[in-house]
Formats: sequence, C-alpha cells, structure tokens
Amino acid sequence: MKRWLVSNSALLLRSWDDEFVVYNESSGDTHLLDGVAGEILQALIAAPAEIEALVTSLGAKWDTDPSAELHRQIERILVDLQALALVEQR
Amino acid sequence: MPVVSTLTRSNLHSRLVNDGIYLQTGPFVTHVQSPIQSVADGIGLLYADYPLLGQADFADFHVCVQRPSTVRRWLRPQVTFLADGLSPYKPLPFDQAFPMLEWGLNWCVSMRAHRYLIIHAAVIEKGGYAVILPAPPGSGKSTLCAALVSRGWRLLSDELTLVRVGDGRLIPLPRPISLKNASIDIMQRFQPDIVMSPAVSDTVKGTVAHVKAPADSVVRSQEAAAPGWVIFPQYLAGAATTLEPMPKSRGFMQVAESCFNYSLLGRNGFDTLAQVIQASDCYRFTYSVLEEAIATFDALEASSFSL
Repeated sequence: MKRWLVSNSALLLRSWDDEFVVYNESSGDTHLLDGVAGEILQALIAAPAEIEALVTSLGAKWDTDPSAELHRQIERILVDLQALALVEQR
Repeated sequence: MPVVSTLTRSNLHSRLVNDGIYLQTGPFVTHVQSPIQSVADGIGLLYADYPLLGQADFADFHVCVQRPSTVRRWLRPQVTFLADGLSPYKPLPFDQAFPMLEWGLNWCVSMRAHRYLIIHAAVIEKGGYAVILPAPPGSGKSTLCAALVSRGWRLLSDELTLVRVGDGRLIPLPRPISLKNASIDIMQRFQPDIVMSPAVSDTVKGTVAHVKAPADSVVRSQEAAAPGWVIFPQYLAGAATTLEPMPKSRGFMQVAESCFNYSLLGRNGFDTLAQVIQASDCYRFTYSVLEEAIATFDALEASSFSL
C-alpha cells in the first residue's frame, strides 16, 4: 500500500485554540487547518505513514474506534491536504 | 539633541529649501527637502518634538516634495513626491503637499524597511503591553487610535506596526495620525485642544487632516513594547460596544493579510507573526461611542495586571 508523506520538509506548523496554521516555505502559502487536518499533517511531518496506520494511531489519540467511517474521513482530509500541495502519496 | 521646534518658521523653511533637514522618526532618519511653505508649516506644527540630526548624518530615506517641472506648473499647480530622486506617485494638486509627504513617508517605510514585519495597523501601548489594531479603511481605526492616545495610551504608530524580526518586539514609529472625513470633526469635538493640520479636501481619501503625536510618545520612540493584544476594530453607527474573543489562528490569518511584507519575508515573516500571535489575545471589537471604547481598552489593560 502507498504511504502518505509531506510534500516537502519545509512546512512550519503552529497550533492555537484547536486550530493549526501551516506555512509552506516552498510555495510561500499559509493555510488555516482545523484540528483534525492539523493533527493528520502533524503525524505525517513526524513520519510518513500508510492510511491504515494513521487510522489506528489517530483513532487511539482521539479515543475513537478505527472504523470505516474514520478511514473515510481521514482519507478525505488527506485528499484535501494533497490539493493544497501539503502532502502526497507514494 | 535639538528638535524641530528650536527652528523658527523662516529658519525651518529656509533649511528645507536648501540642504534639507534630517528628521528622526522612530528607528528611521529621513532627509527631507521642500521649497513648499505648507510642507514646512506642517512639519513645524506636527513634528515640533522630533529630533533633528546633523546635516552629515546617515539617512534611511531622502525625500523631496516639490512642484513638478512641467507646463502644468503654471496652469494648475501640482506637487510631486520624490524618494531618492524617483517619484512613486503621480503628481497631486498643490494643496495636498503635506498629506503627500505623509503618504510618501509611509511608502518609504512599507517598501523598504524589511528588517521588520510591517503590519498595516495602528499600535498603542500602556503598562508595557501593546494593542495592535489591524483594520481596513473605514473601520474607524485611526479615530479610535487618536482617541486612545488622547487618554493616556502611548502611540507607537497609527498606520505601520513594525515587528522586529527575531524577537517579535514592537518598534515605535510615532508619526502624525491621519484622520479622514467625519473623523476630523469627531476628534475636534472629542478633544477640543487637539493639534491638527489644516484639513485638505478632495484627496483620493476624501478630506484629510493629520493629528500631532503626543510629545511623550515621541520622546519614548526608542522604547520597544511587547505585544499583548490583537484587536480588529469596526466602527458601526449606533452599535453597542462589544469585545468578542477570536481564535488566535484566525487572528494570525487576518493579520497576515494586513502585512505589507509577510510573503517577502518568507519563513521569517511566519515566525515573527507567530511570535506576535502567541503573545497576544485576539478580539473583534465593535463600537460607536468613543468613551465606551476607551473604557473597554482601559479595562482590558487593567485586567492584564490581575492575571
């Protein structure tokens, strides 16, 4: 299975009030992310991961069952982050 | 160090016509030349408390306000602003000479002073902590700023908030406060002894006038401040005074949009703004009554001591 990883190593992340602000040094773009998207990105900055591993680790962190629904939600957010050129799949 | 008020009206005009003056405003030294009497009078009135440096000293900006050398000189007099000999603006009607100097000085700072993150915002301070007031035109930012500094808040800037890259400290640049249209009468009623330049009508911003910065703010212009609050003000006729907390992340994004050089500074811009936001509580503020607005800001400042 392909792994998700951050598109480049030049991402700066700050978190306040359960939201995240991320700066992509390569593009110069700044994005506002909600807490869920921010934590997914944070996890991928720490280490590339397959989606199943993300579902398991984030499910445990959020005290949520690693259900098919959680899988769909995380996958949808990964696609959104990919559209922002923050993550990619290899 | 001598200040502008040590020169007589004719001396100041003569200096401006010939070698110019070297004016210290916050961290900048500006070499100003102008043969125009209204420019000399504006400087004499509004920059009376500012230090004058020696003629041979370094200057960050060399500016001149003069008549352009065209045939219009005789038909409908105009005035032009030059920075290092180049004009960033088209000429304006002659009676706009002093406002043009003010706009030109803002342009010099916003286009060149990239050792700072520059936010299009007013910034005032009390008790060591500053309030940054980013806002688009029409939000009542300058009116609110003028009212607050007339009641004991220190003016760091009405227009350009300078955040030092590296430590996130706010560097004062106290200069005249620019008021527009109805705000001019409002402030004259609010503070009858206010020192203000003559109103100039039919500018691109409508009728404008400039308010003298408090002398104490000018004297303390080398004294940096720590960010304490970021407040987005909005004047709304008849509205109740409301101060509504907003998430810091939203504050970050809105301030980033109000910066002149956030993108230009890249990572430094992000890190510097993050320092400001980390240190600040963020609010949206709606007001229609200046006295209530001042009471709100004073209460906010007083509450910082009880934490």
